[in-house]
Amino acid sequence: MLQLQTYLLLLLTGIMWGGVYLLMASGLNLIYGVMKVVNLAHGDFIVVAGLLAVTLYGAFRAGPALAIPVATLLFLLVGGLVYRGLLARVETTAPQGELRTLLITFGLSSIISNIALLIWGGQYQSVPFFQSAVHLGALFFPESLLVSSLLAFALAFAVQLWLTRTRSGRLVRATAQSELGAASCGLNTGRIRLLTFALGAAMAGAAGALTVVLIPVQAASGGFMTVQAFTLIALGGLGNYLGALLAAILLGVIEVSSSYFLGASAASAVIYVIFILVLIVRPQGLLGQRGRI
Amino acid sequence: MPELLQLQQVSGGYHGRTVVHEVSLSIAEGEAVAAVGANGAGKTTLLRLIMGQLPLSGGQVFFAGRDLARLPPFERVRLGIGYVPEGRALFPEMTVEENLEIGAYRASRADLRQRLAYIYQIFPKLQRLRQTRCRLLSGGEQQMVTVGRALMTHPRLLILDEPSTGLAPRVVGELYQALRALHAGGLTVFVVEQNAYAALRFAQRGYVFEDGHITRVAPAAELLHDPRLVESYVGRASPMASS
Repeated sequence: MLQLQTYLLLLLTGIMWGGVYLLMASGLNLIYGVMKVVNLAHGDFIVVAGLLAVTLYGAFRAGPALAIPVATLLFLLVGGLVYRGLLARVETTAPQGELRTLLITFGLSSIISNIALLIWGGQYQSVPFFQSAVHLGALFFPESLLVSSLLAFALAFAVQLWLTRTRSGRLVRATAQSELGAASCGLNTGRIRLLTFALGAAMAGAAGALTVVLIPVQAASGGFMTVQAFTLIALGGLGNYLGALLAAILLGVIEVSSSYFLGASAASAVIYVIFILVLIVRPQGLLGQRGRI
Repeated sequence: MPELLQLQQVSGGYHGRTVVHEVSLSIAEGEAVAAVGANGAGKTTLLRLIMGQLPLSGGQVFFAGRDLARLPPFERVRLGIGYVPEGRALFPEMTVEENLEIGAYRASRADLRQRLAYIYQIFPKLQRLRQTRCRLLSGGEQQMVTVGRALMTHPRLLILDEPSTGLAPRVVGELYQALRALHAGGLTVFVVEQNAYAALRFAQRGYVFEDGHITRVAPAAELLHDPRLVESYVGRASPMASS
């Protein structure tokens, strides 16, 4: 009986972590799906939003309820400016266009993490919110994990609804599936790319302001977060929403259970072994074409 | 007849390499015109210059008397140039009807319904396939969707880039049958084709394209029976053509 409870706890905790990872990868997935741009500054957006939440907590004792909307709006603006000022100037159809956007976002990542280092210093920081434990029957969960994962799944669901059920979401999907086709329908694809990048950045902002209650960050954490998010969306099939959801839950459950059975350092090794296996066996991602944006 | 599309000395290409050299052509309202030529003659580039997907390095493009120089591609579509790009450029994960609807995404609900009914009248097959994802359609069906989607933008001029590529002869026949009906209904059509036979049988006038230049303009029927047209495909330097 106790055994069963342990497995159930591992499974549910894994799914919750999966939700958190999904939230941290959603913006990257949207931007890649529509624009074929890998935003290497994605993790730095998350980190700065988290550190901003730390500052808001320090100044006003404000929790995620304030930090999330502030960070979301701020990064909506940052994303718009980065697109207008930098990415829109690169012709993606030019030779090595994708490489150029990669270099630009890489440079942006260094600039942001160094500025963050100057402002916030190099120590790990967190926001002590949602610190109690929640009982579900005989099981205990950290409140921060439960709240973060519920919000994460809700946001992922909302984005999915937006993409498939609304007019503006459909136009974004159309641009993702064929930019030439979208332009031939009279769509202003430049504006759609701007909107997409701004939204993707805003999603990183929301993710950072929320998950800092769970995952302490410091100025240089961004690179690792980008890699982690990229792993997840590659596993799901780049730009694939359903695939990302599945990959997130898989990664969460594997990570939680392998750190329980094998220890925390073995857990990340297990994840990358699985990642490499999937890349070899199913390079198109877990779901392939199904569930593409 | 008033000119609907007019190109004056248009030049352009990719990344500093000129592919189209000082091309002038004009299409009158209600006309059906074909531009034919071998693969690599610059036909697709010419269309991309007309649509604004590539910048002009020289010359001017006028549509309905308006200079298009500063207009981005989507504005040109909104002005009334319907475009069927090479390779179809459908939205593969969306259904036939979703693809068509995006062509008229700015239209009112009533307008949209009317336009859909019109497309299904031209391509009855699409009505049966309306809930099917485009990825799953045959080449001919996909081409119908692309033409339908371009018609949904409510164009005055329909431009088609190599519409017969990859289609079985019978399907090419069906496609041109539909284009004939559209032209008979008053639509101006400009088709660019490697398949000179299909295009010139459909068109009233033809332009022959060689190495980025227009080398001949004539009534389509005349070009169709002209042995020199074959020469333009094989190349003048070719021993086959000179023998």
